[in-house]
Formats: sequence, structure tokens, C-alpha cells
Amino acid sequence: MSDNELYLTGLTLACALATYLWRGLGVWIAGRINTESEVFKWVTCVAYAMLAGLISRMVFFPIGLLAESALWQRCLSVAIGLVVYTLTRGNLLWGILAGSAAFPFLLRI
Amino acid sequence: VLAVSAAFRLGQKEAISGPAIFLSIGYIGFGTLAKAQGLTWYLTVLNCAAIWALPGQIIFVEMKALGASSLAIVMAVGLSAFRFLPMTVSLLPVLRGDVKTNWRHYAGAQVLAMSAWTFAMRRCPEMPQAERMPYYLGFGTTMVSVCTVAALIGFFLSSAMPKALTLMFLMSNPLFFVLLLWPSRTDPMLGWALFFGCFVGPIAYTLSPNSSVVVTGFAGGTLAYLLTRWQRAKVAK
Repeated sequence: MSDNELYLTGLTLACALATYLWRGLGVWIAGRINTESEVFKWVTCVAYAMLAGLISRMVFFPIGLLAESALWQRCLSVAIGLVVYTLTRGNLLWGILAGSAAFPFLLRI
Repeated sequence: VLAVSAAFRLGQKEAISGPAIFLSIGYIGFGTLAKAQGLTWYLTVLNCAAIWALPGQIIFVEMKALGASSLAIVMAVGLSAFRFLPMTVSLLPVLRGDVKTNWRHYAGAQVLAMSAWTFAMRRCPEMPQAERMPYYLGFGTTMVSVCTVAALIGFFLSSAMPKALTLMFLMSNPLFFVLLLWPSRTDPMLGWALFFGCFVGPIAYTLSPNSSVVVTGFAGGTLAYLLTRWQRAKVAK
């Protein structure tokens, strides 16, 4: 293993620790609050809003290769996925396949 | 009631029959990125297994490529993982029931990610208590192992992949989560949380990309919580 690889191994483990900190802290806190409580409801709202925000950011302001596409192309791809998902009575596989397979074709329009 | 091992296998089966495949697509993309930015295959595998949070992993690779300092990288990755706090706090009572928190719960938190969280939140409440943790662990460990292999595939195949396929892989990521969260919109409280999150997310991102995820969660989640409380109070009158 080269010096650089050793350094990057340490850096990766440090990042893993920084990530685990929140996971472990969550387990610790969860042991101390009541699930019927208002605080618990609020935390659940925060978790869902955070995920929704992250995903809508990926659609509206993507990073990397996706950023070369237009907003309507990404939105239409999501819409196709949702329509197929609904028509197949909630089949994730078909919904995602349809929506993402349509995307490269939408880019040619 | 299923035996513990049967519940574990059910988790494995549900992961492999959909979520693991879609997240793999994202991880093939990650492997491609890691190769392009000069990581070795060993570091790519370690990154997946140890960090196990795709946004943080992408931040790691991109900041490294930009030549950021070690401290800045650790801080950015750590901050991006803040979402695990409300996720574990809300998931654990569902998994644990009235069992006391033990080391298994701390170990299990390592395999938590968006998909395992969404599936467990949806499936576990209807399961007997003894099946919940094995189901979650079966699901989570399958996700980690399948996706790590997927990253390796992306790493070694990146140069041979046509651009259309790469684009399809990239687009499947947001799609997966949109469809996964779609059924939750009918819950009055969660519906509002998703709605406000969708609006606040992109706005917060244009104002401050680094803190946008955390800000969105607190702002959107609090709005949703207050609105539902206000609606409940109105109905009660």
C-alpha cells in the first residue's frame, strides 16, 4: 500500500466515523423519547422534509452529467415513472424502469 | 409469526427484488466517478462499506479531487450525514417496540440508509415485534453488499459504458426515491412534510448549498408539524 493510499484509508475511516456519529446519537436519543410524544412527531416531520428536499434538489439542481439536461426533461421522466407506477398498482420496478429508460430518449427531443 | 431467520430472509428478498437493484444503479455511477477521480478499487470498496451514505461518498470523492483539506472533507461528509439523526430517532421505536435499546441497535444503525428507512417505516409496524429487527438487518446488509459489488462493477466497466446508459443510471436515483415516498403523501402530517420539503429544498440550495439539507429538514418539517397541529386543533373545536 502506498503512502497516499494509506492516507486515503485513514481519511475514509474518519469520514465513516463522522457519519456514524449521527447514527449512534440517534439510537441513543431514541431510547430516551416517547414515540407518542409531540417531539417524536416533529422529528419524523423533519426526517421526511429533509428527504423530500434532497430529492427535489436532485431534480431541480442536479450535479454532474445530469446538469446538462433540461428541467422539463427530468420532470417528464419523473412523471412517466409516476404514471407507470400508478398504472401497475404501485410496482416500483416498472415505474423506475419506465421513467429512467425514457430519459435518454427525452434528451434527443 | 416467522422465525428470526425467515424474517431476515424476507428482508433480503425484499431488498433484492427492487431497492438493491435501483440503488446499485446509483452505485455503478459512484464506481464510475471514483475511477474517474483516481481512487483505487480497494478504496472504492472501503468507501462504500464504511461510510454507506451515497451523498457523503460523492462529497468525499469530489472534494478529494478538488484538493480540499482533510478537515474540510471530514466536516462536509459529517454534516451531510446529519439526516441520519432524525431517521434513527424515528425508526428505532418502530424496530424496537418495548425492548430496551441494546448493542444490536447500535450495530444495526450502520446499515441504515434512505431505502432501508423507508421500507422499514412502511413494513415493520404491521409485523410482530420479534420479526422487525431481523427483517431490517436482512434488508440493510443486502443493500450494503449488493451496492458495494455494484460500485466495483462501475469501477471496472466505466470506460466501456455508452453515455445513454450512464444517463439512465443517473436519473434512476431521484426517481427511485420519488416513487418510494409517493404513498406517504396520503398521510396528513407526512404529506405536508414531503410537500414543504420539496419546496424548501431547491430554494435553500440556491441560498446555501452546504447547509441546505439540514435547513430544509428543520424548516419544512417544522412547518408541516405546526400546520398539522393547527388543523387538528381546528377539528377538535
